[in-house]
Amino acid sequence: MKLSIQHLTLRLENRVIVDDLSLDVDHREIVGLVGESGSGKSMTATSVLGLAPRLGFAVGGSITLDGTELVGASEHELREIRGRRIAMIFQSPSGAFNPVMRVGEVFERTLRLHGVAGDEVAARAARSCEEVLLPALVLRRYPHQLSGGQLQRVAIALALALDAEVLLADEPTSALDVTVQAEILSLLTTLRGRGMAILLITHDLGVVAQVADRVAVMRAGQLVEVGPTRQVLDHPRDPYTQTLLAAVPRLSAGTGGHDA
Amino acid sequence: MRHNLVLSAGAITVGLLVLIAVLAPLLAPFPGDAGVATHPFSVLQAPSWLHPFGTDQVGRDIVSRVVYGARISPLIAVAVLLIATLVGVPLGLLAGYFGGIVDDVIMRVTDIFLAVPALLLALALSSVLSPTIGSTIAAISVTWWPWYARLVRGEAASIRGRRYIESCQALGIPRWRILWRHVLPNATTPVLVQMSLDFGTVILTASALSFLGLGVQDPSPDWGLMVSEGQAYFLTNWWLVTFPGLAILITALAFNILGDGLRDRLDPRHRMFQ
Amino acid sequence: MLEARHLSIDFGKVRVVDDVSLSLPDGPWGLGLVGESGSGKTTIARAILRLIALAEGTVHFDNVDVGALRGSALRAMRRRMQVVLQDPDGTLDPRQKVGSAIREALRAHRVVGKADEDATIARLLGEVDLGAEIADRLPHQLSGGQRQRVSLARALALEPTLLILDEPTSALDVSVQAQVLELIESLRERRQLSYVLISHNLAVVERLCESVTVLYLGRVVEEGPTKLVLAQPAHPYTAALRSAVPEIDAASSQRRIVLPGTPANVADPPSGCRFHPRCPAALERCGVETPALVEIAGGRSVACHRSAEMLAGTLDLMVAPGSDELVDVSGHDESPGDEE
Repeated sequence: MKLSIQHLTLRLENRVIVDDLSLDVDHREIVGLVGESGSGKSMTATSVLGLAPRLGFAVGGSITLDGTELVGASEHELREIRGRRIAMIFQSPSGAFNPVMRVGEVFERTLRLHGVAGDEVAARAARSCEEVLLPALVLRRYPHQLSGGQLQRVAIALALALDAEVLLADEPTSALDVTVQAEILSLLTTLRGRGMAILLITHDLGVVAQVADRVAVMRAGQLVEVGPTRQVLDHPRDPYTQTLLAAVPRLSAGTGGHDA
Repeated sequence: MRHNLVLSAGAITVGLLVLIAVLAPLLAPFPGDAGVATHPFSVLQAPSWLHPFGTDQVGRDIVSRVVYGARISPLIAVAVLLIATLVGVPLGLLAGYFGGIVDDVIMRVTDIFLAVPALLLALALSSVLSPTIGSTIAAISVTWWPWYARLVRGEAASIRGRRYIESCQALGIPRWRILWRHVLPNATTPVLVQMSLDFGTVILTASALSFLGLGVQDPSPDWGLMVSEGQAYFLTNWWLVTFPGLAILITALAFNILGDGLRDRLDPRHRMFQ
Repeated sequence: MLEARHLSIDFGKVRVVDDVSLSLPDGPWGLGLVGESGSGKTTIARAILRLIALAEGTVHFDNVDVGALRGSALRAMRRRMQVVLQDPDGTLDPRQKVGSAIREALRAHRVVGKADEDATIARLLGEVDLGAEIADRLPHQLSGGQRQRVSLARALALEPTLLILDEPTSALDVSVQAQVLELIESLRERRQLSYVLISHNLAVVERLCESVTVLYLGRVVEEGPTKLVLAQPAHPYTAALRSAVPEIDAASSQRRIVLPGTPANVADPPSGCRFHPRCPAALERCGVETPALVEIAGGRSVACHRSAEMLAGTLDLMVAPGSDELVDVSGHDESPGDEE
């Protein structure tokens, strides 16, 4: 099992933010973590990267990457893992990029930081840009010159370039137009094909339905239901899941004209 | 947490200063020395138990003068800032909210005032008017109001673009009410912060004017004046300059720290980790 | 009831809305205004409300030219046409208690006498399913859903006949969204309210609106009765939009139309049909000749050279996505909340 979260508990002062959460994400798998605001889903991802203590949380339980324990690991060990083995993309891609640096520079620095040889850097960067369907030219742009969708793709390209094994995606498409969202989601399936283990955090059940293999539903810090996507969406067992599904406005079926 | 410490330090010092100013007659060992007084037999005495800060060139007790001086500088600062805000804030509001011609006209006027270095303008005015505490206040106020106008104009312009203002317009709420009830309160936070930061600077400016002989005059125990008068004796009688100088430094610093702390307190509070 | 004809709006030198016409008939009616960022939908709403100026075109509300109104006539118009803007930034003054905000609206139009104000405020809050005690709270003490409802209550205080709703559900949690939608439906019934619903969410539009207008980069690409437009899109963009909506039901998760590239910058729009660089069915003609908005059967209009093929179902829109052309778009495709 690539990434295994066992009995994770996060406490902030007296409040329990995540309560006894257990979830696994395997190679070539996209697991959707669904919940409303305040459910603790984002904090779960943050704790995988070992960043929870820094924010004042008390962490209990275990998170292992290929068997290596991440909870309580030293800063040194965690730094090796962050970015390189576990990559993360966020709702607002511009937050990940330094506004005064060209996007390519960020690439270069990150790759070098993680030990990629100098001459290899340019080649890898160019290759990963191709994989996300952006011309290598994009590396010469500044973040503000790129659209949200393009930036998000660059962020994904970075994860690819580093050959990350796990991708944590926190609401990667929430801030994007629907048509752009479709592209990003299809990119995620490409990554899955490459062998990545992807934890996709979202409040949008539609997104989960589209790309996730399994889905986990969180409510107020607890996992209320988990299972194969189709199973959970078609036959939800937990009442909360059922309410959530009932609340989503659906488009009526019948879309003639474009499936030629 | 560090911020709170800083804010407290500033607040306490300022509080002490206010206390000293108010209780001056009680605290000063020789109240009479704050005014016209000469003690030919006690001139230029080094600090001692009787005169902890020593005596000046006409024998006046420096402790008393410094204590009474605490009344003058803050008074000047309060007066200046009051005038600056009363003039600058409304002008800035109008310029920021209405934009266009109104903005252009008001801003050009402030530009004119800002183009002249503050101290020079104050000097020029002081030399024309007879040097009194009143003219000092007038001179500094004239150079100070444009900053507030600018500050408020920026805030007002930015607030004007906010959604809740647009909502008010959509609801048909009259303009004057929008200005008074929605723009003004939201635009004044930076003004308050700026005021506390400026307090120290105004005091320094007033001191500079006194130092140059264009502000308050003898026998007034204004600190800047004391420094000015004492500088001739500095090498042999260091205490004439040092104590009033320290008073200026501490006061300006205290207000500055207060302003800093206030700014931190009022702004990022809403953006704290929720 | 509302007739907006040939609206064009400029932001400086850039024409962000080009020749857009909308209409709402009398009686409760919902018009959906659909588009992504850069489409100009929010801008159009603002122009209808006279919050920004029109470069060209007219807006008639109940047969009165809105653009010609002044002073108290303008204010009277505002009573009948209200708006609930999107909330993330704050349509409510952060320093003003919610009850006071509603009172302010009431007073501006002297809707009720001072003595009746409190009762009216309580009643309005109740109408949006909020307790009367909410009146003493400040906006930041309320959840997103509650703030949305307060804005709604405030707009309703003036007893409008037309409500413009800008992305009413976008910033809200799923379960709260459902409640807000139900609320809108019940308000429509109770008050015989008409609305222009601006949204990028097709499912919401389908549920609440009888007719829909689809915008792309400042122009109308298609319009007509909602059911028809969504079931049988006559424009490739509408089809792509519909296909892009991630759906939960298994039956509909088939191949999606993926559009290459990002919406171009409205400041430098493509020649001819603005959609052509991203259109899977684009012909050479599309880049040269701007398609006109023509009426077709069923009370619909569409602006596309290949609409006949679209309707016949003979157009293949599944094209492998190619690499992007890099256009200077500067953060352009971020949806809800952005200025358009």
